[in-house]
Amino acid sequence: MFKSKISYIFPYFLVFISGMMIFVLEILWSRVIWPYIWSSLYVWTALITSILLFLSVWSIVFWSIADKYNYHTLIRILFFCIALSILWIVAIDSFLAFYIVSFSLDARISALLLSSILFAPATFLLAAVFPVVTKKCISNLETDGRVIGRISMISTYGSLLWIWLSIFVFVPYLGLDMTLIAMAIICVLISCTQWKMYIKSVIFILFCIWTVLYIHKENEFLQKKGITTIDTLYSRIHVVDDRGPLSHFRMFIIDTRILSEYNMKTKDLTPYVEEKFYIFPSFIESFQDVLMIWWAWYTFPNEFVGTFPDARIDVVEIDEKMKEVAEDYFFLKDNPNLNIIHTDARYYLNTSSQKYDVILWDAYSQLRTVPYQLATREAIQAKYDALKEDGVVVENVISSLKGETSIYLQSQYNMFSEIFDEVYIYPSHIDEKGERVQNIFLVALKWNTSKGMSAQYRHELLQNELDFSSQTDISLSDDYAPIENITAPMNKNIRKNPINTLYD
Amino acid sequence: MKKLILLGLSIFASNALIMIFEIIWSRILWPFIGTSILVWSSLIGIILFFISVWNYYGWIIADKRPQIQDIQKIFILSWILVLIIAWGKDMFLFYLYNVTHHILYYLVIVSVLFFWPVSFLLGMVSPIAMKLAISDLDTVGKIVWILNGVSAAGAILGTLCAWFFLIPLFWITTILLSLGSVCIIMWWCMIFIPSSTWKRK
Repeated sequence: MFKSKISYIFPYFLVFISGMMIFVLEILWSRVIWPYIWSSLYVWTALITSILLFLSVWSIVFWSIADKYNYHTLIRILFFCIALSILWIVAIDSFLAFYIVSFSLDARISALLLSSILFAPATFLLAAVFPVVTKKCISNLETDGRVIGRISMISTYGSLLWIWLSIFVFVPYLGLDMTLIAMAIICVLISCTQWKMYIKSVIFILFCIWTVLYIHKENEFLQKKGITTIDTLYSRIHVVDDRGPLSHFRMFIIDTRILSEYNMKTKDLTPYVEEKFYIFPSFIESFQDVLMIWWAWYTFPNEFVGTFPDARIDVVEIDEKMKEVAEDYFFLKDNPNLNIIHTDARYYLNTSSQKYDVILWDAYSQLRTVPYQLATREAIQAKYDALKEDGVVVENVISSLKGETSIYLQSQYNMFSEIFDEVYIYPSHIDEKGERVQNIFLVALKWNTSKGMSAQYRHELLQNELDFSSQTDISLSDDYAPIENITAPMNKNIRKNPINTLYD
Repeated sequence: MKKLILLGLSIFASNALIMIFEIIWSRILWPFIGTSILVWSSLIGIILFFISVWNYYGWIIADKRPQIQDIQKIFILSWILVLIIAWGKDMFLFYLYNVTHHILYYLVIVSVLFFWPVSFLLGMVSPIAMKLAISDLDTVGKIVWILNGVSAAGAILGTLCAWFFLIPLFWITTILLSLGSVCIIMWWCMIFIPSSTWKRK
């Protein structure tokens, strides 16, 4: 009785597991590829296209196999092969990603190649579980619809449950590789239920030995290189200690971008982009409330509260784990004037009633891609509304001054000019052609300089102040904002991966 | 064969429309609720929950009474709903945003009111069309997997079309209106086929 119940439920359990794994793979897939192809648009499109393509091709091919072979044989071989194909991802993901990206192909082709080579085998095999199980469960034409419906529903519930588990449990607590290994173990166990006892034991023991060896080797290697890897809900962080005979630098790397570097001997923040934000005091006589959007590693806010002890600072950073990393590795300390809020910046602006003297804005989801809801006219209006009467916004716009890589800057300039009273542009570097992609600081004032401040207040800034005029009339709105396409030209030539140079 | 092609076409179109609608839907909501992981997982969760519901009930309905008229009605109703969303989205979404005070409540309410009806209707096309296409047990594997492939192909085209063509070129309202037009075209394709053609053996 019990055995017959188990044999009735088991096929549905297999569909549940395969449904879950397809979606977990989808999420992990994006996490593996994301650091190498810096565009959410390309990554997600490659990902969805590849998954659906494999599913559709395999579905069409597999019906004949499902009809021909024995159910138990198919399940045994399928799940064993799925385990191998998942281990294939664990074994070669970084190497392959770096290798493909080093060819400097078009980002779309790189994303598709990576998706196809790394994830195709596993997706192919997982997609085959559904037809095999459906073929077994359908017994007559009167209830075929009901059976297919039930199988689809169970598969979807599997996806649903495991999406949440992978986002909230597996990735943050186990990390990418361990999640994949856990999936492979589940597949081996399922496969073992269909093998004879001695074969089961051999397969399982060999698999366990491989897993232990792999984890040991990986940990030893990372420790030797001084690399600490932390997976958060949004990205993979590497904290790298670069020790020399006379120096000790600590780098903060998100995915593959070096974002900050800290001199551990002198405890000085190596001047990066952050220092440029200090132009804002030239535009405001006194300030008390400051809003900072996206400062993941917190070295700048930490330094800021020391420099301006009377100011109260709110930092909006979406990723909660970043604060822990900053506390553990970058000396972030609790300060009554420093308030950290973990939410989406646009949501914060929409819902907060707090008014600020200064807003410092440096929000990028990928190296040079801005979350679209932060780049529109409505978002700029929300910044304006969040400012006090004489408020100032300083925004870091990664762009060039001219050419196809300047469209984002031009669109921002257009929209800021329409909403704010005065807008100034300060590039980090002046180049004659204006085609260099760089950090350009856009300063927007909620008041007119004729009211009080004159050029003499910003005398030091005048040499860098640019008489900028937009060449286009592009304006982005919540209803129309092709931000990925606008910023795509800027991401063409950045394919170097600092992590791989550390691994050499 | 003609019947199978038309059923395949309706499955292809409905899946393409669902994917485009899903992408556009997330794009519509981002300015209100942001893109935090809570939002994403809730959105995916709600979408998958609806999909699982129509998967099951769609097939039960298909078992009871598979008729081509149902697919025609689904396309015409979807057209009406998409039109309502296209014209009323800003007003309703703003109003609900002001009266709900939690992201999750907002997501659930707007998804139930706007996303669920369209996805539910379009999601029922596949089960009904597949049921109409299956004529005997010997070919059930073949028919189901071919139509599954067609459905995935529709979803692929919908995804690519949304990201590379529709979002960069058109306003969201225009895209929604075009989705409605596709529903009308599909309804028109099927209305002229005599219902006797669709009788199941």
